[in-house]
Amino acid sequence: MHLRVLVVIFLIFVEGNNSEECVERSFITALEGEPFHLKCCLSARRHHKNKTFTWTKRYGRNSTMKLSSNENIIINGSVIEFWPIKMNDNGIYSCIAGNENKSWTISVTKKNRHGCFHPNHLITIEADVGKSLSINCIDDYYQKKDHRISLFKNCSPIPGNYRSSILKNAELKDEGNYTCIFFLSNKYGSFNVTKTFRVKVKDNISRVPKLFGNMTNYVEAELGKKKTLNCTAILDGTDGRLYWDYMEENDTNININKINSSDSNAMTRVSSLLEIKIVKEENLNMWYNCTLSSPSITETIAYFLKKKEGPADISRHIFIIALVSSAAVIFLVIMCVIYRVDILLCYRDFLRRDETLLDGKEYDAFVSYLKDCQSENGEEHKFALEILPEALEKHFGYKLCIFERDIIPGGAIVDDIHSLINKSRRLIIVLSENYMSSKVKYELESGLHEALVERKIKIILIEFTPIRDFTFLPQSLKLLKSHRILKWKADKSLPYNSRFWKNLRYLMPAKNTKNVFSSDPLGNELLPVVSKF
Amino acid sequence: MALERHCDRDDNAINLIAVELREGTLYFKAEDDDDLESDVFTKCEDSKDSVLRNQKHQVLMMTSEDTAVFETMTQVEIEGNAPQTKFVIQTYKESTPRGYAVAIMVRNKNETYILSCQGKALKFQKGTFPPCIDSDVSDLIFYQKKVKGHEKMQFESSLYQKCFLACEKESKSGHFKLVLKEVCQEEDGVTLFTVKNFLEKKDIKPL
Repeated sequence: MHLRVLVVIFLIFVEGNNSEECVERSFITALEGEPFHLKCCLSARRHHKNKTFTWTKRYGRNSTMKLSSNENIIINGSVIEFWPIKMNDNGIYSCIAGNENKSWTISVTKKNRHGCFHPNHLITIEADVGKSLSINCIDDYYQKKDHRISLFKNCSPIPGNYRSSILKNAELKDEGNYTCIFFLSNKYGSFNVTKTFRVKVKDNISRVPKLFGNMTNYVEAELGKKKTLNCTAILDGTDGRLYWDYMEENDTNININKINSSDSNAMTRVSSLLEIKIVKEENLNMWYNCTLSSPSITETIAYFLKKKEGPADISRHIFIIALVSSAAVIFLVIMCVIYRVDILLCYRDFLRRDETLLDGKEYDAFVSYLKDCQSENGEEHKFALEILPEALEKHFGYKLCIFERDIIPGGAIVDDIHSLINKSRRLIIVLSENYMSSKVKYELESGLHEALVERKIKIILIEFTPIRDFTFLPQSLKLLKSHRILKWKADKSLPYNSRFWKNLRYLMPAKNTKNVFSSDPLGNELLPVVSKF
Repeated sequence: MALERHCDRDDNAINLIAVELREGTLYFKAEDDDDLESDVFTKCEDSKDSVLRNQKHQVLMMTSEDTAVFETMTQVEIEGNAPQTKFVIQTYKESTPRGYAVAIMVRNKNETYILSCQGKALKFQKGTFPPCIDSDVSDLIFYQKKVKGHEKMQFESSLYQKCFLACEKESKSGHFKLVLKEVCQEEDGVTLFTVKNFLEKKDIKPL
């Protein structure tokens, strides 16, 4: 049983070894004066040992001659041997078995008498520094014949190497031509069969391709201008490509230019320039990817093209900014004009200004109003004696002089009025149609004299009831500035935060009245206590 | 401003309007798929004529539409057996770069053939390099990878991951054949190739 298995294995081995010599390439070189052989392997017939093989050689264009064994050619079934091959054995040889045939062109090279190898008869071995280098003198065909093998480097024996093989880590100094010589001796004579390997050793440790630049780049481009994107890489030899990827690759507006320049250590510096001839809207806000694709590395850098503000855009922006800011200024001015009173009052409160401290006057204002006709003009009377003092004195902290209230009856009225007006900082005249009675006429004229001639007092006119005809008033009253005339609008003017009171406070002298607003703990300052009429 | 807008998450997001489970696969449907870009391989301008060698320094040669073998050849033999030993490596650029995408073409008897690995079997199919392959994987596209520290290359199929071009000895004929091999260990020796420029010498001509 064991014996049968061994026999089968042996047969497979022998069969395998034989079949290795099948030659598929159709152009074969041989060296003159060396033994040479060809084995014919026709796929379907290969195992048919008994099949007869016919060998032919073509002479000229059409003439073919059947070959038979002669002085240097031995035909042994599927194998043709040359002991040795000569220059005139050049030619096209065919092997025919049944319907199949195969042809080879044998090119015999004249042997180099001076060296042990022929430069056109080299088998290339590429090795890397530090990696294994294996040279093994094996010839499956002649190995079985009676032989001796030697290995030479550049036709000289290798010092210290007595074997027919080399297995080592490659070094740069290992480069060279290694020749295996099989010495054969048989009945046809003594022959040398040579096989020469050209060993090339490469040092590729430092050669790593590299793409320069950041992974992501945001680049500004100006509309209508040219824009160039640069992509540069170091490549290992010729392996590797630099290419751009972007939308609209057929756009004739975009050119790709390549610049190659060799670097040291067989590295190549490659630049690929993407040039947009005229930047248009559709070129903007797009990604332009440059990829370095090589067997060792694949890297991409991306460019995003964004719009650069041109001079036209900048002037437009400046115009918009100027427009907006002038509009803002105008708005601010309008607001200041409208709310100038509020702003001034706030300003006064904030600074705690007080104009009343050093002028030596006793009253903040002298109130002049129609004192008669209580039955007809009760409201006017109430305003002057109740609402006005309530607001100005109790709420806003001013001190008023109201003739009726503050003067002890019995004195000289004219003198009193004159001196009281002199002691007051403002003259408040509550105007109505009936105002011009004899009693108050003096107050008015005295006040006007003080205000307009001597400029000692400022007059505040309160138009209590709408006055249609001002002819009855002294002409000099018209010289007063319009904003010094306040209109009382009954209920609308009643709350302390109404425009009327604000304007009045504005016309009144600045006075530090810090305790005024805090006097009402509930903050109920909207309505005066006496407002319910 | 443009930066902020572009980096806005919503800009790059896709609104999904339907999700469906069909035959064990979850399908999403986008609300507006106009913005979706499919992956494309586009042929680059230049290609390279190459000689491919296996780890035993044997040279690859196409012999028939379904076979390419490795044989020991001298430089003169490589040139003499051209164009079957001259493999044109064409690079393709990808819309989503994943590697060095290549297709391999060879000429034989005035016909050109492209190497395909359809069905995990290698075949040289008649034709030239397609200018554009509208898919993210293809039987014609291989990723050429350099093995670290070596001058050796591997060719991984874009269609079948972990499947590499490899050299395998055919037990029947004893030929070293080019096959597609699934490998777990990436640096499997049989998947290593040396890729060199094919330099045709004008002064040496076959008979």
